Amino acid sequence: MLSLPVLLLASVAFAADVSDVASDAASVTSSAVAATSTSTIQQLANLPFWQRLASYPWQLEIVSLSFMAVYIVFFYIGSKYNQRLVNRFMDSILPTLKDNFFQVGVTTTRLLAQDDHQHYTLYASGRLRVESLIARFELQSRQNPFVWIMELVTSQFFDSIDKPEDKVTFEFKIDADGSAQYDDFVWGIVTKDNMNKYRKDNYYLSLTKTSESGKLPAEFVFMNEVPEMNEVLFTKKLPNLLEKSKNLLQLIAITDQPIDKPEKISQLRPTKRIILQLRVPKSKEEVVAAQELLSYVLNEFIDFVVKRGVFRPELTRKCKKTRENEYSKLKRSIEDAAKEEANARKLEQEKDRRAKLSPEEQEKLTKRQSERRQRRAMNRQKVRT
Amino acid sequence: MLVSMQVSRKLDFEDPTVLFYVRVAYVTGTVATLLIYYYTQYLINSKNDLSTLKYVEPPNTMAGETESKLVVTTVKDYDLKQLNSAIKGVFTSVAMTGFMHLYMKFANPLVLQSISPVKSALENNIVQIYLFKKPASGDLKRPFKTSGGLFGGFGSQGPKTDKASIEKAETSGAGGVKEE
Repeated sequence: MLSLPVLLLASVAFAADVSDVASDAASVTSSAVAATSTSTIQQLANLPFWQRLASYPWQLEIVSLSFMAVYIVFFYIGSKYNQRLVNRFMDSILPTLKDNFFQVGVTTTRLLAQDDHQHYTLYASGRLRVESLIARFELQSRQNPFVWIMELVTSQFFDSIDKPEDKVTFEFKIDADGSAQYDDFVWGIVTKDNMNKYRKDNYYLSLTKTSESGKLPAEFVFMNEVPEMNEVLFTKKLPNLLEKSKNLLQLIAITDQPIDKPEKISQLRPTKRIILQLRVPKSKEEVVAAQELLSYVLNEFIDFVVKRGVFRPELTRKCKKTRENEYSKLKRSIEDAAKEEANARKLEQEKDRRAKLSPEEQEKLTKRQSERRQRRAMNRQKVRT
Repeated sequence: MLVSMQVSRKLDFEDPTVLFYVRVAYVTGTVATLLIYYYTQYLINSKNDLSTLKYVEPPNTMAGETESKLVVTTVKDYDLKQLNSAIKGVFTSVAMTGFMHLYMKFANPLVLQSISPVKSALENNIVQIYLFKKPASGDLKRPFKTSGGLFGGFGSQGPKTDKASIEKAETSGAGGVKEE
């Protein structure tokens, strides 16, 4: 008799928050007592305390408590694992960062800002030509096994849901002085795995052309606005580094355009950045490869780009044209949106005005409008014939 | 197909032994289909063909899209995606047939579904290329033409691969749109 409500409540308790479980359990106790007839209540009351405890069915409490315990254990293990992943990588790159930046860390005492158990952010500043470095770690939600498994399963069946992965994005923002020294362009090397996704996620990459090249390892493609720029920007050290980090590197890009598609004209203003996106390294070799790549970018590549990223006007003309196109496209869409809004407002006002009129006047207005419409249609027909 | 329909009409599903054999046939058919697909998946992964493939996908009018978009992918990724959608189809049909059989007690779909998935697996473009080693040209040239389907010819176009439309779509700045 009792098993059905208990089961129902148990399912509610599963869905509910951890804090709710205790109160649910309490309500079950009361409802269980209420459901039994008065005679059994009398019998229960006559029993000594410990016998009453023994006669009570504890299944729900056992199930929910063990469930909570399992959840807490998984949470602890998962978040510790994530933390270890971040820390191990940070330990390997910290000397390089300290060499380059005056301030490494979000505050003077704290290195990383932890947003939750899967997002970490690093900040560094105080280097010639680099205004700031922001590194964002996005890890798998290991701390919440239910969400994690759900993500893994649903990503198999829906293209729109990304497969969970551990990634870190380094965003080097070039300062005003450095930005003035080189041209506006987008140039990048992207891994072939899921390259369409990177083009979809990053506005600046969707302005580029994708091209294969014999110079690159087979796992990568160039995404650049002007292919001739490869000769300068694809340095001699890069092939070797790419080969080593071919399972890690997702993209390395020089851009003056934003990551998100601009919605205001002001967002089109070039802000120069060098972006390095990696899978978070797990094994020892991967950590070394990632560290080598990052220190190459920091110690050589940034300064190299600022110094040598000036091209013949024939090459940069194409980049300028793309930006002008994008500007006019955005302007047009903003204007269209404004026009649409104005039209909608006008329609609304017209409606309001009509609602205020008396019924006779409303009718007259409709009549007059329909006449006008007819006349117009007739005129049009005349013109056609 | 027609033969199996006729056969399924002849069979007496009340008889427990017949029902048992029909069930066995269905399970074997499904397992065989999945085996074909997963073996092909293994072949794709071991071949690891990373040459790039560019094509322009027509806008999905059902989802309210107006602009066609460029897809840049590798042959391997493209093949895996095609294969995955086929595998997904198998699971969907298993769910459907399971519902019809276990809940509504129809046994006819079991007969049909023990043959048709195997047939469509063997006719699948990717399986043809990898399992039967057919050259990827003609009808088997990637990207595959969309075969109309349920709403065939209703304003739907296949993917475009001509140079002009690729050039136009490639640098259109369609990425980075925030979806919320």
